[in-house]
Amino acid sequence: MERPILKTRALYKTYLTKGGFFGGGKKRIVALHDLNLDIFRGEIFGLVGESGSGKSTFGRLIIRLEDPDKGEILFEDMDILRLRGDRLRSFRREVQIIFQDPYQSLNPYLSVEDILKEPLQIHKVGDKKERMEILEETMSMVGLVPPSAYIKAYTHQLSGGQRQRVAIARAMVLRPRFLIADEPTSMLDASISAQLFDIFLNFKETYGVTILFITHNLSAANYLCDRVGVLYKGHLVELGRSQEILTRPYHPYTMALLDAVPKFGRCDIPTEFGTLQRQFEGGDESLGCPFFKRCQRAKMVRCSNELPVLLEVEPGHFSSCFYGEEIHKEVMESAACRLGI
Amino acid sequence: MRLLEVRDLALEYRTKKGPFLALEDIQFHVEKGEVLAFVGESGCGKTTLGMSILRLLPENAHILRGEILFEGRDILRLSQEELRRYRWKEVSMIFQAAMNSLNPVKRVGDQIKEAIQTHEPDISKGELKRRVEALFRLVNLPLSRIGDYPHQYSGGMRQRAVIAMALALRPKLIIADEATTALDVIVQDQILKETKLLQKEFGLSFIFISHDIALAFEVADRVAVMYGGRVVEMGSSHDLEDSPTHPYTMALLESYPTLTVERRRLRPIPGDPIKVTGGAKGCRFFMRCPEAEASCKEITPPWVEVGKGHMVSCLRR
Amino acid sequence: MSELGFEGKGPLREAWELFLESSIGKAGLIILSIFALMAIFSFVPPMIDPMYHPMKGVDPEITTSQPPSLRHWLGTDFMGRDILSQLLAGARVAFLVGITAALMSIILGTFLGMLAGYFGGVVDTLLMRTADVIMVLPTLLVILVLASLFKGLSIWSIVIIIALFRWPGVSRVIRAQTLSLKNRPFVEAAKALGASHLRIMMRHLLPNLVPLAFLYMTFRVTAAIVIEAALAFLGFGDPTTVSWGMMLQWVWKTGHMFKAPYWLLPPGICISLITLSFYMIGRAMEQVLDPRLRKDWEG
Ligand SMILES: Nc1ncnc2c1ncn2[C@@H]1O[C@H](COP(=O)(O)OP(=O)(O)OP(=O)(O)O)[C@@H](O)[C@H]1O
Ligand SMILES: Nc1ncnc2c1ncn2[C@@H]1O[C@H](COP(=O)(O)OP(=O)(O)OP(=O)(O)O)[C@@H](O)[C@H]1O
Ligand SMILES: [Mg+2]
Ligand SMILES: [Mg+2]
Repeated sequence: MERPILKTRALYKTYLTKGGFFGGGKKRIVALHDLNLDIFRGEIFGLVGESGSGKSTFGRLIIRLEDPDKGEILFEDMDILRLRGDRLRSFRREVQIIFQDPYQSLNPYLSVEDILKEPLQIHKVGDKKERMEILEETMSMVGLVPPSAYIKAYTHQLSGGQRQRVAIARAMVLRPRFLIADEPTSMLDASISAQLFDIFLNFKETYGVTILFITHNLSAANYLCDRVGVLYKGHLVELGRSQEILTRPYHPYTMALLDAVPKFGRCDIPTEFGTLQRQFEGGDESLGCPFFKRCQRAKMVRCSNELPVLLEVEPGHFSSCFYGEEIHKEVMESAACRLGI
Repeated sequence: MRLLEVRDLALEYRTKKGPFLALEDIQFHVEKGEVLAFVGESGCGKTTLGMSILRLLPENAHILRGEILFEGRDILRLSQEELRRYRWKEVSMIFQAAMNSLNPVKRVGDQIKEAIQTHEPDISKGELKRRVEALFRLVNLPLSRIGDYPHQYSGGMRQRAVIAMALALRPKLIIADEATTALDVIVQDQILKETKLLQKEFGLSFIFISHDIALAFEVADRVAVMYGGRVVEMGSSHDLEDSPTHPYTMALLESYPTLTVERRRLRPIPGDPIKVTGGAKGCRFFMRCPEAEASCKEITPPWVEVGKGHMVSCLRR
Repeated sequence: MSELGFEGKGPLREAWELFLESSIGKAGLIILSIFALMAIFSFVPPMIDPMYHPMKGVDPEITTSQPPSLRHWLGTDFMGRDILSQLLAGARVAFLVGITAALMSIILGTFLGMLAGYFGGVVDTLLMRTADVIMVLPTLLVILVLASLFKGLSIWSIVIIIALFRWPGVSRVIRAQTLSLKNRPFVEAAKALGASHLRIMMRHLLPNLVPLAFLYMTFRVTAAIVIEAALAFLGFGDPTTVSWGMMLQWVWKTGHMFKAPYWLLPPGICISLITLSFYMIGRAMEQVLDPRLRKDWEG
């Protein structure tokens, strides 16, 4: 599992926001800041972070819906930003994406059959009979059974959960090796989400698909992912095995995220890490740590002036906080219970 | 006297395909200063219930029977004039996806001002300004952003503005329909904390509607679990979390991922949510229930009290 | 539901069913079908007797305009031609002109608008500037100038000119719609699958644009019919065809405007009614297409 299937090097992406009415006030937003990340073959990698932290941007860059300002993306050691024509098309067979909103991600004028056949038509896979077989097999994989009941349906006849299954099936008909799932269940009920989680786990176990799972739900990441990366304002602030990140965090932002998760499966002394500053006025970026302004533990001068880098704090566990180990030690003592240890 | 009491409420939507019983046999009450949560999957009737308390139902909705008593008055009998006063001043609602419901061409502060002015036309300018500023502080929005337009706010800020709006007339009960579902965890957590403060400080009551059962446990004093237009279990959040009794509640809890260390396999509820037409007898969860027997299909389960104030409607208990 | 399976009922068919529920849509359709029947029956009178030919058939016993009689249900014009058969022939022309001109301008507008919106950049700027220029030219005036230059225009030239001058409005709307569609996840998903531009446009954008284009078509038909009638009335029509505008012009030119209401009213009423019917259909379609008015939960 240790061989990376995907590597990004110093990936940097900015957006120009629309200015005010008279065009003034245009601002450059850094969506991703020098991101270095390796995703291993066959794992489910979770990318977590709050809204606007750059999670979707990362996914869109990898699948070449957008181009970065700087940096490299290597898929199987191949620089995908240079791909053109046929090479790009064959790359597109390997990597697929599932979007958040099942109501927007399917063309309302196509039937389920049309939607699922399209990838096969584009890549000229199989003849009529083979296509039908692939379709039925894929539909069974995502739990649209029996396939014949759904194949003639149009999307508006389906529930949100069923639509998302169709979207997952569309991503899987070409049997890609890498799947990006951008908050695929955040608009669905918990019981439906759980059904979809199992589908993803099955993809990983049966087909060896590598999955980039984008979410802001840490509980879901805990359930599904082997490793997790925590993104804050385009910076990767913590990275490691999901159990480690969620039980023994080093970065104050990760701790703040954990605090915010509704506690459930209670323990006797619910403590909080309390690393998030509640009252804060957003302002311009500083030179230092991106989390500086909201960090309860930030120390003057260093945190506000120097950008911390990602360092290995334990084997395979990286964090980018100057005082991470200090905070970690202090916090782990008081939080032992709430984590059920 | 109880703040809100709903008795034996049943409601149907009349559609071209025939009547659709969206609520049946709904029975609950809300005390002053209490948070009651309604949880259940999409389509189980949560929004419909919220709307009927405000009597803001679509035209094709018909209340078949029941009473909705607010401070002892049956609001199903209020005149239009009384209703207007009752909405907003007594009870207000934060609608599902409300963050997109702000008027895009009006400043946020002005929108809140207008809301107050329409109900209190005699209010002085200075008083009005003070009220709006206090509301902004209450929901933790920076005062410097009072003059901004909605599009200049982030989603979380917009949601706070909507909450401020709901609080503007100091109602006694707020119905929050999926008020934080669209937000990410940190913002959601902040808003919930603020909500709790309000509840404590002003003795506000909340009806908190969500499909997120973990969230409901976190904010609510009591939780009611709905399935297919009926409440199947109701009790304090502790009781429901520690000893869920109805098979549906148990399934719901088991389908929800948690942060605990050992990863238990989730058990998704098989099948799709049902849609009931007409007054079906029997238990609505029958088709998907792992414990169902033949009698469940025939007999509508009565309420059983399994603990103090912990009610469940299942034949097998 | 899932045990039975879903019947393949596309959104267009659903829209059609919704359309049929609207009473103004139905009324519009009924009026329109009456005109369609008139157009079809326009071939009948000349077959009964050559004197009923709308253009060349002259009743040998009549030399002046006559009020309605058993022989001529709506009377005759100044030369003794039958007004009823002219009215029927006029319906045929109205359909030809209205529908072909509208269809051509809509097809042109939809494709150009879609190209501009989808590709953006230079393509967009070029197309939209052209659209702006054409849009500020007054169609009727331009046609009048052309007509006087070429000493009259055939009905088909009129149709083509109307089409060429009436696409910009449509293309603006279609372009705006394309802009909002092209970043929808389903389009992005198609891109991620490696779909070509052509495929994305034809398979994913176009079907989503058709209902809107169709709505505009109903408005364009009206415009085309009115323009043709106006041209004919002003004396720039195709002298070899009988259109309602032509009929009005004959009434006017021969000084029967205030003397022969049986001659003046029928074409006038027909023009108003056919315009009204398309307008009603358009309004009903608007309701079907407007999601806020659409009762989704009844599906
Ligand atoms: N097309 C765009 N134009 C301008 N800014 C953009 C655009 N797309 C994204 N951004 C900005 O880039 C930043 C990162 O956005 P991104 O969508 O990647 O966040 P995210 O982590 O996916 O958030 P969410 O959880 O809300 O989906 C945000 O500040 C966002 O406003
Ligand atoms: N105006 C209406 N006419 C007919 N049926 C309706 C109408 N409004 C809602 N329904 C149906 O009534 C049921 C309950 O709807 P409701 O909106 O109350 O569900 P909900 O629990 O709020 O779901 P969600 O979590 O998706 O918001 C659904 O099956 C819905 O399809
Ligand atoms: Mg995103
Ligand atoms: Mg709802």
